[in-house]
Amino acid sequence: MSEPTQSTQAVDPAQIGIGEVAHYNLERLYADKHFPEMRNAYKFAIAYALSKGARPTKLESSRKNVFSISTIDPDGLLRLAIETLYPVGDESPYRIAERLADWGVGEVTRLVYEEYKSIGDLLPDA
Amino acid sequence: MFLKTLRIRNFMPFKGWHQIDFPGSDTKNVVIVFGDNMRGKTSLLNAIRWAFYQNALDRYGEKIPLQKLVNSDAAGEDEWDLEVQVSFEHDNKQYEISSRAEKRRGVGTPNRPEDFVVATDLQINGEVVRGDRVAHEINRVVPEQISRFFLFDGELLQEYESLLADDGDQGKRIKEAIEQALGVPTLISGKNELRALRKPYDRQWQQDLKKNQEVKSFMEELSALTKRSEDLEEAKAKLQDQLSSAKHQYQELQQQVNAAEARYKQKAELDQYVSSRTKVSQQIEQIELRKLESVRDAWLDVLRPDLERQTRDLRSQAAADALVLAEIAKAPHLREMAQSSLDSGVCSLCQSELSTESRQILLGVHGSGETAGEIDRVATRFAESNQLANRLDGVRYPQAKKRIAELDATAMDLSLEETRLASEIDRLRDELQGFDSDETNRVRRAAENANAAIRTLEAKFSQVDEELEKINTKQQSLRLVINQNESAKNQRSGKIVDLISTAEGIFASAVGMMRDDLRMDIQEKATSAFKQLTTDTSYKGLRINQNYGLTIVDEKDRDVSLRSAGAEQIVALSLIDGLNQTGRSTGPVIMDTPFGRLDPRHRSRVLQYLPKSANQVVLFVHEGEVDPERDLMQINSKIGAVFALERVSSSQTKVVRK
Repeated sequence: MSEPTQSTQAVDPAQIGIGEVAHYNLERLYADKHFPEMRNAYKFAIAYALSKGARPTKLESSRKNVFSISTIDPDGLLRLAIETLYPVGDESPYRIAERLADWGVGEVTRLVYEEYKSIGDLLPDA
Repeated sequence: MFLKTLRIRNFMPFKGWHQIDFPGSDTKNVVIVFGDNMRGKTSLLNAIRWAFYQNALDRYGEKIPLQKLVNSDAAGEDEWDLEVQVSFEHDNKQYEISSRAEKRRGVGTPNRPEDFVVATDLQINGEVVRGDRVAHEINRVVPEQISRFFLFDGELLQEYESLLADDGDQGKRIKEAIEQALGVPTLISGKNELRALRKPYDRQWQQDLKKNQEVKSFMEELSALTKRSEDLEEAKAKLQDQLSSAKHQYQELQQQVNAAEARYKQKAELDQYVSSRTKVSQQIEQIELRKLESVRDAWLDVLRPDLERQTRDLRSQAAADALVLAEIAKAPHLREMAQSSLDSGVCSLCQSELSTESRQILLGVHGSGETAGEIDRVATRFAESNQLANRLDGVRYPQAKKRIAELDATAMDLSLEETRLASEIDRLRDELQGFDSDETNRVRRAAENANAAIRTLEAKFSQVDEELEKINTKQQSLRLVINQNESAKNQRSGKIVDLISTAEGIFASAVGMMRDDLRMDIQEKATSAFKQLTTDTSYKGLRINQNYGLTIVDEKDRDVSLRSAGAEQIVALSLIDGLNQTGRSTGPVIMDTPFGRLDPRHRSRVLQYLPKSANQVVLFVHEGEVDPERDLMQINSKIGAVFALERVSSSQTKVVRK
């Protein structure tokens, strides 16, 4: 169990992004109607990475801004989840979110297009 | 006559050989053949008709061209031959009929009946009947004229209701068919032949009396009438030719219209299927959208196990902290116990060795320099743990997996339905290929015009007939007057004319008498059947009209004018039974879809009556009109065999014994 902490040192960015390759895959997942909107795919990828215990240290390709923070996390739930499940330290949880999304999109894309899984298949049993 | 077997090959939906064995029992004399619409019930009826008379009729009573009787799959494999064999017993003799049609040598793809060679073989007690005697022998046992009463298509029952109308084409046609079957035309043609026979003697007589001055003026008048009569006969013959030609043309056009109507029905069915498929496709699209919507917040479901575990840990931590804080709040003696524990390194309460963490807490309790800081730290952690746990408890998980599974199950069912509809649409589109509705409308208008022409010709024909009848009466009167003259009376030619005229009168009266007798006979037999079929005991019976139409009569001998569709059908079935029994001694009754509009009680009455009405009853029905369980229970002891027509493909059916 991680100690509940509230990061105050890092300043949150206004925009949140993802690597260019992952962005391409994000668009593909949305265009192929696996998600109603791109931001849903983005958050799903973050959650998938967190659930798999991923600790990515960098983006796999050059960064690209995609969403504003207020769009992607209007209720602060994403921040809460990251702060609860990830050793945030002094870093802004949204910077961590970018790396998690970058990693997660790669995994989800691989599972959907190479292993022919549906998004329902990737969800844990209730 | 008692049917024993029916064997068919490549006949309509029956590709290859199929066989129905009719049980030989006199008591279990009912055979039921179940088949859905389009499976081939009417084709079986037609197979029997074709074996006997090389004639198959469509739903409109029109002859089906031979090339259309060959199973389409067999034809596709260039197997253009069909065969129907019927074996039966009659007057203790065994009959074997085999009718075959084969593609004529040198013909590629047959497209008219003449492209086939048709042959019928008949054996009686194993002996082959000479070719020119076959039709005669068959007609002796099962006359073709009455076949419409025992090879009976229930879909045509409504035709018989048209007999109630005083005029109208359909009623007239049925009336003619009934009279034809029951022998009336024999007397009518006898009368006409006598008239033709009289003519030369009439001329001779007039010639013989030319010089007789006493009857000269009458003879001149008679000659003028004879001349007029001859002119009218000539006009009548021409009209007859025109009428035949117009009727032939109308029949051909009507056949096309009927075929087109069947196509229109298919077209309507196709439109219905297309509309249903569109609806199903839309439902599937809706489900896909709902599935997509379910995924919107599914990211929370992914984290649920981790977040819930984390919440549990936070709650445990807070509970432990609360315990510590509660202990701290207790009396000062705890401080002493803490000091003692710290000094000995062993807990004064549980006697276990102190852990580093416990030592830290006890230091706080003891009130050393770090006490206040430690209490704050525990209190802060307690508050933070609780706060975070509360926030995490507030997360609402969409449970998308369960929702998606439910939607997938519905989508799967819809997808199966969509596939079924698509296959029906393909089948109907194949069948409707080349169908042109504009051309059909043109043919329909042409048929209406031909029908109008027939009516005009018939009206002219009736006028000529009426005038001829008047001339005939006048001629009779003149002959009587002329015969007052002794010299005229003794002429040989006059005597012959007189004799033939008398015979003509006898035939004319006989036609009327025969019609009356037939009507009374049919009325009696139909009433007997009706009383057993109707569920309304207040009805006295049936009354027949000039057209052989039947009206229900109540207990006060009044006509019942309003009849339900079910009652119409019962009356029509009674008429068929009456006609069948009037037309022949005994034999099987083979009925296709006879229960269409009957309610359960009438259906039950008909089912119970039919085994008694004939020595053998064969019913072609669908499960909508006869329930295989409930309805058949009532006549279980009478059922000899049950068959089912099962679909092999859209163009093939097989016969299966149940």
